[in-house]
Amino acid sequence: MTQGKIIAQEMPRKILVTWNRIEKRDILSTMPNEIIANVLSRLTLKEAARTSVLSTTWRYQWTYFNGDLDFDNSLRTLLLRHEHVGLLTKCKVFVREWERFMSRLQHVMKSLKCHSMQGLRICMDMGNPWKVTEWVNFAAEKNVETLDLDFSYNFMEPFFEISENIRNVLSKSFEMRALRVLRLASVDVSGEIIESFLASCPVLETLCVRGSKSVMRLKVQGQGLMLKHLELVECHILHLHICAENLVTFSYTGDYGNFNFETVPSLVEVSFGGKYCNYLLSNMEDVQLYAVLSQVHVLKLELFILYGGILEALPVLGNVRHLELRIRHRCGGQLDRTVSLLSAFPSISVLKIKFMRTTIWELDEGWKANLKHEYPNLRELEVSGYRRDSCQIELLISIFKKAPNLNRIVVDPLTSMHVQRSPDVKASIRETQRDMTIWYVDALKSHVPPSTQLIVL
Amino acid sequence: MAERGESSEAVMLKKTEEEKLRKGKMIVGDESKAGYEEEGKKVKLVTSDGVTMEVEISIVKEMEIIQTFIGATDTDDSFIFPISNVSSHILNQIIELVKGEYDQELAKKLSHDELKEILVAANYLNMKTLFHFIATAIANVIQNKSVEFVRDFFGIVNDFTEEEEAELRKTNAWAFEGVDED
Repeated sequence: MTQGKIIAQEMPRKILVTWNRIEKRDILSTMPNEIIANVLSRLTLKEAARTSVLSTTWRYQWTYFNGDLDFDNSLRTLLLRHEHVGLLTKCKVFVREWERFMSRLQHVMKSLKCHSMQGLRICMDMGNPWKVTEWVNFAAEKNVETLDLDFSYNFMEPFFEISENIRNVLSKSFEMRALRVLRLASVDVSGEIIESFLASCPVLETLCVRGSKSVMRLKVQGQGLMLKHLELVECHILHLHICAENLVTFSYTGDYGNFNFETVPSLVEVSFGGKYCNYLLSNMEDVQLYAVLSQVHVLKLELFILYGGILEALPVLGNVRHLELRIRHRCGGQLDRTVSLLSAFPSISVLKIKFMRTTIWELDEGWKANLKHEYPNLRELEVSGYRRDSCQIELLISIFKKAPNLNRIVVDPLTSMHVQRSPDVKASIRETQRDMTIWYVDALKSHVPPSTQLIVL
Repeated sequence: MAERGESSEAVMLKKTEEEKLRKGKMIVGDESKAGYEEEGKKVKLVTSDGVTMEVEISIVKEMEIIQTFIGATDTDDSFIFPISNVSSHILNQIIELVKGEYDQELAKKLSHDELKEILVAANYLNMKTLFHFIATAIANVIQNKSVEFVRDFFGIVNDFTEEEEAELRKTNAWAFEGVDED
């Protein structure tokens, strides 16, 4: 117990004992507001606001909250959409609830007195698009470190979209000196807006833009750019130019565009999906693309079985250690395209195969995988979306055979369509799918080498 | 108290060992600024209950209030720093937390009063890591708790009338949505 050395005791023992038995005192209430605000800011905003009824001295303490502001109405919107009542009733309920949520949000924003705030997250049906500019303004005033606007959970197709006017307001630069993380989902920002954020947020490390139709051209560059993670998902960029010394991860899904990776010395992880990935797979020997692909250690690709067949004359990408394939698989169909792609990655140590089921197709009975090479470094194989399909079984077994040093095979009952869900939802989906998955896995058991562990998550 | 006596003895034994070490080092290093960085060196602190304690320099270094003293004064071994807002009991708790590398498990063993007093002490001594640690620990204790629990935790006397409290709950109704008061 006693860590420090007591070398002199001037006080009689009696006083010491009383000192140690301090009665319950409201000692914190007498401290500066900042200290209480500091504690309250580690709670959720709701919890902090509940302290207003503790006593008169606590009444306004919560307004010094400077933690993460999280306004999320997405679950309610989603539930309402699937409610079995008439459309008109649903709309009325939705509008009433939306207005209530919005007025609360505005009440809170007006009440808060701190000059800085950890983060702002708003996830709801956008409703009035002009609000976006207000919120970005608020985030700039409060000098937030993270800003996350997500309007992908709408009640119905949005009535109003982000207009040119709003885009013009947004592309004037907002000074955000502390902003490290910026996520914009279904905000439909343009390339100019993203560029102005990049220019006015000097410490921005993570930028994620999801579902923006208006990003036609984008230049990611700038003096002393700190950007480490760039994610452009479901965007359709025609021209992309990246000159980012510190960029570590890059992710893109969307249509084909002309991409120029001019300076990306730190890039180690890339992920491609959508039509662009299809283009990439047929053009891997392209000088620019090859330069990027041969540099990275982690590569994530999406495979559309419907497009194209066997991939030929692929370059060897010996630097890739960790390969993830999201396979849109027509159940029952052969997987020749996957097999041919695997020949480009002889050095992988971790392979993740995520089957994403599309329609059931005619069965390719008796399909043989015929993997060409051995994978001596392959230690771990992770599979999700596996459904005891004969072609899937054939692919997996042939990987077992070609991987003499495989330690672990992990089968995840959770398919990749649920990856965005919260941890508790994921856990419950895994739980309900587990028995089925164990039955699926039974078909693999007799082929698993004795030295390899087979795990169902 | 018996407990304190026992551990003092153990400490005394350790002290002689460390003194030997210190003497050994003193030959090499000098007693100026550079000597202060020396590992195993101790600083004397007088707590609010009048106890003089020797605390390792590595721990004292986290107390920015004393660092400013050290910067300003020409110090030697005999110098004693008063920390009039911290009791010896709390200082011992603080030392234990620092030595335990701020493991949240340790915080679970602390009483509510100790938690609060350590927060006050961390603020007074200007110990940034400790402050962050203990503020998080307190937040962990009070999160998802009823209003009554939080009042009891902080020792707050409710001076609202029933009507006033009801009115306030109505104004901030959004904060009480979906909460089971028990």
